[in-house]
Amino acid sequence: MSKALIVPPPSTILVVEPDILVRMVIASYLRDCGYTVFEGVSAADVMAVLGSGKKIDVVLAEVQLCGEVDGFRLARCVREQYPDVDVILTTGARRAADKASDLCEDGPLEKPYHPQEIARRINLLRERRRTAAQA
Amino acid sequence: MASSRADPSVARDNARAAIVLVVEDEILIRAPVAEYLRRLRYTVVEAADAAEAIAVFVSGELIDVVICDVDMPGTMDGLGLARWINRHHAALPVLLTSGRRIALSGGVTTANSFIAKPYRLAELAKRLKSMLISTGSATDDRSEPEPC
Repeated sequence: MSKALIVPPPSTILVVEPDILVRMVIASYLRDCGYTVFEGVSAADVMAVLGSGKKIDVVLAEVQLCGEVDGFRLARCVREQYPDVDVILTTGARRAADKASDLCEDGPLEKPYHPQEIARRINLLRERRRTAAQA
Repeated sequence: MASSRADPSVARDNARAAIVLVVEDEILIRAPVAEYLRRLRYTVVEAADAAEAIAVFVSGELIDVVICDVDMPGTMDGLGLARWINRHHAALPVLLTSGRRIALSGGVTTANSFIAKPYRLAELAKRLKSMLISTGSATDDRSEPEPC
């Protein structure tokens, strides 16, 4: 018996970016793409949202965050405590690419980046999750 | 080609959605408020503090109404932000929120209003709509979102 085609719900993304003008543009673009988007400025925001039980599929985080915890440490914490949540890091520092490679799926996105690249990465992560679940 | 006598409902649909700036440092308050207002078809801009809110205004973003928590960290609280908005955008309505009673004075004008925390989202939406109608920024009937 063939399985019914199940269309997964749109991804929920938590955009964590201390620069509000960048955050606005990215969040607005992702909403236009059909995602549910939450917005934060710090690692504390991320842990608060995840700890509240809200279902987040992807955390899109700037490496240089407000507060003591940067994006790398945040990614590590998320991976340890919420392994079902994917992390995409963004950064303006070229050398951060090496550091981030083991933390997020494809290394950080270097700024300036086009919002379409964000959407492409998210779709790639969703596809990988779906494929892994079916395996 | 559209008729020159536009159907009012079409005109309503084509009208720009009112833009709400939600200024609240607690993400677990800001996110549900923003999500609720988006379901009501508002365009919502989120700011985590007064500095972010001012950056939004300075960027030229059009805002129709502001919902602003009074007690926020940083060099400017919600009352300070309301005063700044009153000085630079005199007609822009501001709905202040707080868990404590606030005396509106010292440069915070009657264009501002106040809603005590905790508030029901439906009550917030009702106050918002009333403020937008008063300023002529809202003409449509925004019904409550369907329950999930």
